[in-house]
Amino acid sequence: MTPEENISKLLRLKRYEQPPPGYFDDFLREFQSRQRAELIRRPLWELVWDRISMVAPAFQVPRLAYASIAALALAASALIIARPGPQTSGNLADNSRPMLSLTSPNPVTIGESLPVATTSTGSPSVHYVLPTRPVSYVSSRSF
Amino acid sequence: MLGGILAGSALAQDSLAENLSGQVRKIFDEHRDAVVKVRAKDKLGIRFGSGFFADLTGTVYTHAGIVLKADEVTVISNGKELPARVLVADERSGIAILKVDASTPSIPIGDSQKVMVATPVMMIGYPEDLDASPSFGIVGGLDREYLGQHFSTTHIRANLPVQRGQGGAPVLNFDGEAIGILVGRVDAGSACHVLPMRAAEKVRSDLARFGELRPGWVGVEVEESETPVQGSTAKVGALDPDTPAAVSGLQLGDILLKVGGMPIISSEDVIDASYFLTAGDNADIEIVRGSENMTISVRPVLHPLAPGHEMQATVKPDVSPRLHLE
Repeated sequence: MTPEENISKLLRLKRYEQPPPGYFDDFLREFQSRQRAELIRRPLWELVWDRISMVAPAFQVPRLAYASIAALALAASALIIARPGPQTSGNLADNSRPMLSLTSPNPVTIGESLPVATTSTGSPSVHYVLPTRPVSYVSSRSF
Repeated sequence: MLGGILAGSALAQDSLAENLSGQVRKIFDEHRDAVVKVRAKDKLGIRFGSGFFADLTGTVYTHAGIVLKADEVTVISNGKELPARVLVADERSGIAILKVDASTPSIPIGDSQKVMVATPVMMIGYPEDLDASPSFGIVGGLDREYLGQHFSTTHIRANLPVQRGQGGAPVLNFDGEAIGILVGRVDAGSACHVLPMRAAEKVRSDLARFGELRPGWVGVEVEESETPVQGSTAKVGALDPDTPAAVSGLQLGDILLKVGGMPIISSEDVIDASYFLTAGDNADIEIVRGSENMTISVRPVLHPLAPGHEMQATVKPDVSPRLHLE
């Protein structure tokens, strides 16, 4: 008997095979319970990673990018925790350690009411003058 | 027929616009070299504004706010940066006068008294970090106060667009003469306030004559009288005994007609009259007392809030060793 004839015979037999009674009734319930058991058995980080991976294709971001972001977030958290508390005026002068700053080192135009300040890099701020309020020290009805 | 009229009207409008544009361009080309960018460095940063040469020997008018606390001032003219001395920075008028040691072009000084509502004006200034730019508009009004605060003298409100960095720029009439200095913007910059050149020249005159500012004060409080007398409602309401006005014979209830030659119609008119008083220079005050017209000569003293009193205006001898104009 050739292999083709064997396969044909097997398919004929399989056509008459039936599952035991009640099999389909329990199938879905059993599948879900097994799925839950599998989830409980897996470590938490693996679950989180699976969730992130599910979202990743939607943004079309390489999966490794998430690892980089997570690493950066961890580094930033560590830095914030490691930073000392607010300085008092007494120790400002002798602390020369560079600080993080949100001030742009580039020239900026600022509002008239805002003070002009130097940036943390030492480059001075630029202020283009044209105020909104008049200047005067006279009272309108005395001279 | 109608088509012909409309076409003619459109042609006339085009011609008007071309004439206007041509005139603005002509004045801009003629005077742009006399308009400068002012750069001032102080402890808090760098300030930029505009200014202009008022004579051929490097005298610059600019905005006081640029140089008021400056340690180092330079004037950028035609791409060249020239060191400048601050002769005076006057908070009362809002202007400063600088001196550059160079022969310079200049803008002629016009008669700001001739400016009236709807007079066409233009301005040349340096907006932010851009090149010198012209702006055109018309006079919208003559204001004595803005946002609840009084000017030191009547200011011209020009409906021409301005930007930051143009503080101190010259405002010119269509003869190409400076009629004022840009000292403040209105709203977001759709219009501006301009110190008339006559008021600016008072500052320069004081500086040239005395080496310092000499705003005069006679010590009169003015109030509105209920009925006008000879067209004026400005009445002397308070008078301290030791003030120049009292010493000269002015009395409570006198109706003011003229102060220093300037006509007075209401109590607010004393704003302009008092601005032009000079300490030490006699000023005539014309009054009505009862039914009698009188002229009283008063010698004003230095304004109590002037430099040397409350330091509202500052002459800076450390920055400008030569206080006289050359």
